[in-house]
Amino acid sequence: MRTVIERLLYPLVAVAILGVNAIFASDALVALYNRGNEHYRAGDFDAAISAYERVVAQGLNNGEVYYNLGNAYFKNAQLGRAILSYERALNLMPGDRDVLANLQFANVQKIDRENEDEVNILTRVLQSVFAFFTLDALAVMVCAFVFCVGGVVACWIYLPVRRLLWGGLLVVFVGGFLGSAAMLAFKAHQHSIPKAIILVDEAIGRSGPGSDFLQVFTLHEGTKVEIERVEGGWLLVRLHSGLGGWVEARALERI
Amino acid sequence: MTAMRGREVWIFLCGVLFALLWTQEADAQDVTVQASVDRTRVEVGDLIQFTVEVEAAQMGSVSAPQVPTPDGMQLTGSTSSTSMSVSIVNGAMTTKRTTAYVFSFRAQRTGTYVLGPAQLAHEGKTIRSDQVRVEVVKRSGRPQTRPAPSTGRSMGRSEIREIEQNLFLQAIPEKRVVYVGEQVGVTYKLFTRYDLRNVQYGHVPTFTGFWAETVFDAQRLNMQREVVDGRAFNTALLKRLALFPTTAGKHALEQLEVNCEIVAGRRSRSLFGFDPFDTQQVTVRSGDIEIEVKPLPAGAPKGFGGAVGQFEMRAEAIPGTVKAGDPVAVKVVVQGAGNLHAIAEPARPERSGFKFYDPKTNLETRKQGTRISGQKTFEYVAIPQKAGQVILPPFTLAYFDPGQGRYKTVQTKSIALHVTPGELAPQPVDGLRGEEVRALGSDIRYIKPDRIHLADQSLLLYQRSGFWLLQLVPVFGVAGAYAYRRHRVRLEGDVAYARRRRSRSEAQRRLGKAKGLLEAGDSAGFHGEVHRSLAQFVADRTNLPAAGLTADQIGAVLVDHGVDAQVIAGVQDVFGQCDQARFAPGQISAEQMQALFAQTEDLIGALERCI
Repeated sequence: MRTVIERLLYPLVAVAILGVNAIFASDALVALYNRGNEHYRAGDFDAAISAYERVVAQGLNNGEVYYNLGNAYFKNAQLGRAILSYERALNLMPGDRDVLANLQFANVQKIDRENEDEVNILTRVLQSVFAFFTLDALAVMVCAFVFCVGGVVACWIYLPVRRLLWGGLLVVFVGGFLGSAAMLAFKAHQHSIPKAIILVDEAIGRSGPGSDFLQVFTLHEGTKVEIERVEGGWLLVRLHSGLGGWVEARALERI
Repeated sequence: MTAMRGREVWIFLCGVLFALLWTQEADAQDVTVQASVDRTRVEVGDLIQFTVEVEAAQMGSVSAPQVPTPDGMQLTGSTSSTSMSVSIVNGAMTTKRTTAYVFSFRAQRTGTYVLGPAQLAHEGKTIRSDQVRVEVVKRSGRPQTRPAPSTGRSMGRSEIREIEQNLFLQAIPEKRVVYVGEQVGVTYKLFTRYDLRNVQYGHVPTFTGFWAETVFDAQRLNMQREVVDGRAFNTALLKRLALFPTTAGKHALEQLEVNCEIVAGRRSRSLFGFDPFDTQQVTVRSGDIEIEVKPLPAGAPKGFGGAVGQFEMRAEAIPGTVKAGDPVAVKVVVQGAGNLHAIAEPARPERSGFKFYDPKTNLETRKQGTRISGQKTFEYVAIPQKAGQVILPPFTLAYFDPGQGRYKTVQTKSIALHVTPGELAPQPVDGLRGEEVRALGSDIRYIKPDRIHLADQSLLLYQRSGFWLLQLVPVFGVAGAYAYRRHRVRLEGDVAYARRRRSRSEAQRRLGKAKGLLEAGDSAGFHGEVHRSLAQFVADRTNLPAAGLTADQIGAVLVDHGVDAQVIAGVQDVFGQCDQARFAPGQISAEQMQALFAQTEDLIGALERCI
């Protein structure tokens, strides 16, 4: 029995720890990032952008790099790219206050306004609670509940007295697990919807994938859209308000 | 969605709690509205003044009242004035502002009217004043006004001209061209050569475009002799007004109307001679006057608030010595002739090292001839913010001097105050101390700092395989707990199982002991222990009593369990060697014993796999 556990469990834990642990970037990339910061401090935003972009191009996905890149774009008056970078940074560092503040600041400068619907208190509370937990926090919660459920079941088997205590705890932990798992699933689904930022001054939304189709709306730089379909060089995008239309793919870039 | 922060959740919850408590708080900010009229019984054509007094801590949130005009009345105008009182009790300051709105109605028909209620909005609520009942009665038998002078009964042209020459009303303005805000005195004088009775005002002008202050208003006719163009008249001063134009342009003054009766003693005689009751009713009007109001010239100094006239200013502070944090009463007095009512608060000194609260204002006017002069007092509560010898810098007032036609600025003298350090921390007036930090500009937040390491964050926790593998750990934990429990139960109830489970560790223990004996060179002890460990192991595995188990019996048992012949032979060989060593000690070398030990270990390992 022991040998079975040893054979399976130890490699499992090893893989899990390796998988969860972060992978660090090479020293050269870190040096490049720091050089970008130097350029930024000196006010040379073009050079800073080029340094950060090279870090990104070499495959490093790091929120701080995107955040600083967003700042450099913003100072360089490239609002769309600034918002795009902030959104990418936010995906990597959800809940980071600097990113949230600058994204909000940049969003105020853009032309298109998303009219926030009037929502009732209950919805607002639920939305706030939902926004409060990041995907990673939810994943940790799910994991913690799984361990708690496992622990309680193991204790119950090992100590079959105190049914009420173990039963009560089990109900609580299973409930917590189901709740957090549902939230994780829903949020992960939302996260998986591809989104994009308009990068040109003005992008025309049409009723079909082609420039002959009827114009249905006009979007401006910095506006965030969800991508629903791709056909040729055209993307079916949907706005926060539910409005949908086909936009040329070169007018925007995926977050 | 993502822009929302965790803090919002708490803010929201606090907000709900606060909203529940707020309903009680709101009552403290009450607004009171009172309505009144100057008189409740008037004659047709008279003016009624309906006054609405609004009292509130904060006027900003209160709208101007709306008053319905009843049918049969005409709204001729409205004015408003505001006063404020500040009281500090035990360090807590309360401010009360009262605004009086005066609506003038002209009664057009007889009847009983209800004025009001005045309605005003305050924080989304509508507040209503009381209603006031007013009675309008018929004019007491006098004729409606006709071209002046006119009478109730038909008169010939010559007759009218005669009256005009002997009875007239003059409006005499001081000057006809003035600046906005400059005082202009107007005197109304009645000239008569008749004996007059029942002299009463008819229409009293409302002076649109002016702020009017009455300097003199005759309660009864005080006749004086005066000669005009060689003819002696009785003259009576009716009214003296100080007018302050509020807007530029040409303003015509409305006519003042006086109704009176001429005693027809000299002229009209009846058959029976002089009739003392034969009177003629006449309405007299003042002539038209136009006043040209010039706008103030350009180039007003900074802080000019519309003061026009000649002013002086002084300031005093009581007491001269205070503790830091204690209030000082600062009195600023503006004195002079001009539109005192319109004088705004003089400019407070900047960066004075004092905290000022809004002043309480008081206006005192004196009337001299047609001029209004007086003083306006601004009483401040100031709290010094530093200890030591403190200078209260001057207050400044910019005004326009119409006599010289230019702007002027007056200043108070600086006041030296001695501020001793407070014994305790200065007791602040609640919520009013210090200045809130204001954001002057906004920019994006600064970049993140340099790093030594940068982690790749592209995969979220739930996107990593390791995360999901980790979830299997509790499953194994549960399985382990189940297995362990089954093991414990069997140990308690199943002797054979218990012996089997222990067999290996028992054999290990005995072999360990044998090893110790081997190293000590005790050949007999070593062989005895090796024999026992092997025999005990087989007995434990097969659940047989170990005592008295011979080598042959063991061999038979092993055959029964289908053990490999080679292993059985090995077992027999070990037993043989042990027996031999017991009966012929001293001939066994250490190497042989080492080999026997190793063989026994191997055998126990092999036996564990097959029985």
